[in-house]
Amino acid sequence: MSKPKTLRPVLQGLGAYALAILATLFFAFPVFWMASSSLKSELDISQYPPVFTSFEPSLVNYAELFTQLDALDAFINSAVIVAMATSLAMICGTMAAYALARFDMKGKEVMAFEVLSIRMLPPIVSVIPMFIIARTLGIFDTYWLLAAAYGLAGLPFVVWVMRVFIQDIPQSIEEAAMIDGCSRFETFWRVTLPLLLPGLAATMVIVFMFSWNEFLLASMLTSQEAKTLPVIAANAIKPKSIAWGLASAAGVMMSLPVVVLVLLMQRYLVRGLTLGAVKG
Amino acid sequence: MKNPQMISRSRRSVLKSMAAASALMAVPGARFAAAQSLPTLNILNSNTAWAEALTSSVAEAYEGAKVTGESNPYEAHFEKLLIELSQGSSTFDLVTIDNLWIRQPMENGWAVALDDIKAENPDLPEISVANLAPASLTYSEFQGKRWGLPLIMTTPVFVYRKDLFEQAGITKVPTNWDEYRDAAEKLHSDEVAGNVLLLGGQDAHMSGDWGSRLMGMTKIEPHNDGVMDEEGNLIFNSEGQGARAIERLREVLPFTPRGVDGLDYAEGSSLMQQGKAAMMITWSDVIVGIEDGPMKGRFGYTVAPTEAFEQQMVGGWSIMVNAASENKADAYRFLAWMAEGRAYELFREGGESSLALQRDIENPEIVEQIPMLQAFRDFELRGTTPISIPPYRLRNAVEVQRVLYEEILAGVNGRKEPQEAMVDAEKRLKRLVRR
Repeated sequence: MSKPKTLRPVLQGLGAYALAILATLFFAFPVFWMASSSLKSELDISQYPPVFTSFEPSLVNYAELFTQLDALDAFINSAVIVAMATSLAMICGTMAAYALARFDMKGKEVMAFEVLSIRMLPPIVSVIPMFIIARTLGIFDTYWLLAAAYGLAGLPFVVWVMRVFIQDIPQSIEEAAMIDGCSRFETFWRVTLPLLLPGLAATMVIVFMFSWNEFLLASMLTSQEAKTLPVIAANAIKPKSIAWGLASAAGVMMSLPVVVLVLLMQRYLVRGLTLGAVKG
Repeated sequence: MKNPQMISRSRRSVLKSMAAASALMAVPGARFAAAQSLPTLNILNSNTAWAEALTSSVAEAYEGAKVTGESNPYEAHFEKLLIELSQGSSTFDLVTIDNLWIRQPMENGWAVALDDIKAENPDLPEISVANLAPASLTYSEFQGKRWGLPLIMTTPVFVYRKDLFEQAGITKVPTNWDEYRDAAEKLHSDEVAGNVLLLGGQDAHMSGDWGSRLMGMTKIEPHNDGVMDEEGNLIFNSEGQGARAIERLREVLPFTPRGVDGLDYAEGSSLMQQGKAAMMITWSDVIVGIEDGPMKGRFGYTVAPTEAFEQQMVGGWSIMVNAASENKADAYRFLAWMAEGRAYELFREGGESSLALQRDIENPEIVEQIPMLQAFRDFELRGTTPISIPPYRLRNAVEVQRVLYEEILAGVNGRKEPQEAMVDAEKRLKRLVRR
């Protein structure tokens, strides 16, 4: 009679593992498909039934990516622009969030709403005004324009998310630091900021991903000098046909920095994404 | 104490050394200066085979300017063209343009006529278009002036699997839609679809599948495009032909791939490439790459079937000069050089198969190399009259195409009866058409 009782948790555990493996396979398969297609010839890609392992891997698609589509330049452009934009959004956004969370200002809720309202506009609405401003200022097709645009687009998200994270840190910790002689900025720098690291990491990864994958503004506000990776990758889609191998190689190249960043930040991310979920 | 002579000698030798160094630097510098003095022509470009050739082999072959370009996917190209040209930006000296969009820059003053550039600069050479296929030239002629040059000439092509035809005992390649429907039924199986319909894309559906059927329904007068007449009146359903074209699509729906009624250009071509479908009507510039799959060599190409009249659309891409360009005369010179023909040969050598150079189309050796060209040759054999792509004469052709697409799709997938869909399309378009 006691056997079923001991078996049940084992079976439940096995079931949970099986489900986890299935879910992993479900989400990992498209990534595997993309990575393997990037190493296949057009002939292997179009085989039916599909070939999963029995093909001769080739780096031709990657070579084409660098020679035909100038992916290296685009990669550098993307890296510089997104680094500038993410830094801008994180620095300004976190400081603004701190002010909104900690200071008693008149109309701060209206201010917070106004910041968020930037995100309410569909991006296409801002393309022509930004194009005109960029041409007038002479910054069309430069790093500065896209960095500013992405920085501004990421700012509301940072402000609103970081505000919640900051509110979750007990104010008494900061007060203790100030009693011990820290200035407001020192308190922020030495006490609050280290406690915010998980939240900062989670927010930064999301802002980075938004900017890294953005296509519309990058396509419309650049020409030859500041083209980013998504614009280059889109060129693998020919007007009426798709270069699958080239598109897959571009996909792998675009995904890698995000994967690396997420892995680097993994330690903070799990905490950051759940922090503030339950208020004690 | 320093010897003044020494100082003077030293100064002299320094000056001599500097002069020598300057002379040495001047030689490559002169070459560099010469290269620098060449004007730069920047092209708003597409990302097709001809477009890649335009900024690589064609740019290398042209000695009168440094030719650069920015390639764009189809939709992004149109959006960028609208923003750049409407704002009077001089980023691009030349723009490549789908012939469907061509009237918008002409009528809005965003492009400049080549004749006007010549009138301002009488020393410029004459542009002769005698080398180019006459049907490809229509789009860049407007108000008695030449506004640009064709880059490629395209047409809806009937692509079919020769081996499957043979297996099914089909000895005659369909030349009308009844024969096409019968062949689709005969060829259809669980493994291989009888035909692919391109219902999933605005351009593929309206200008491709529906348009190719519409063209043979009624006699289309010269200067009409099957959708509108010269005065801008809507004629696409004047005798019920628009609804009939929808019915023609509906009757082959059962012979499309299982679970998928319609695809877009790229997916349809991929399915043919993988051997999962036996027939397709698609634009000639889509077929690039179809022979790269396992079915290489098994495809036949001819002009699309018809209903009652041998008429079919001829479209393509053109190149024109941006009215805001600061290098209009240089852009003109480049186009004058292109018209001589070498640039078009380089397009072909770069992998383009929708050719605009008449001597290439007529050359049997080239037709052998590029089997798809047979479709253009069959125009002559079948006595097919080329018709301009509808509704290219409008300033808002893309918007009109979208409305037609929505209504045709409603008719094809059964949300509306074909006649009802066409009546609704007429009502909506009457309010929308801008000339």
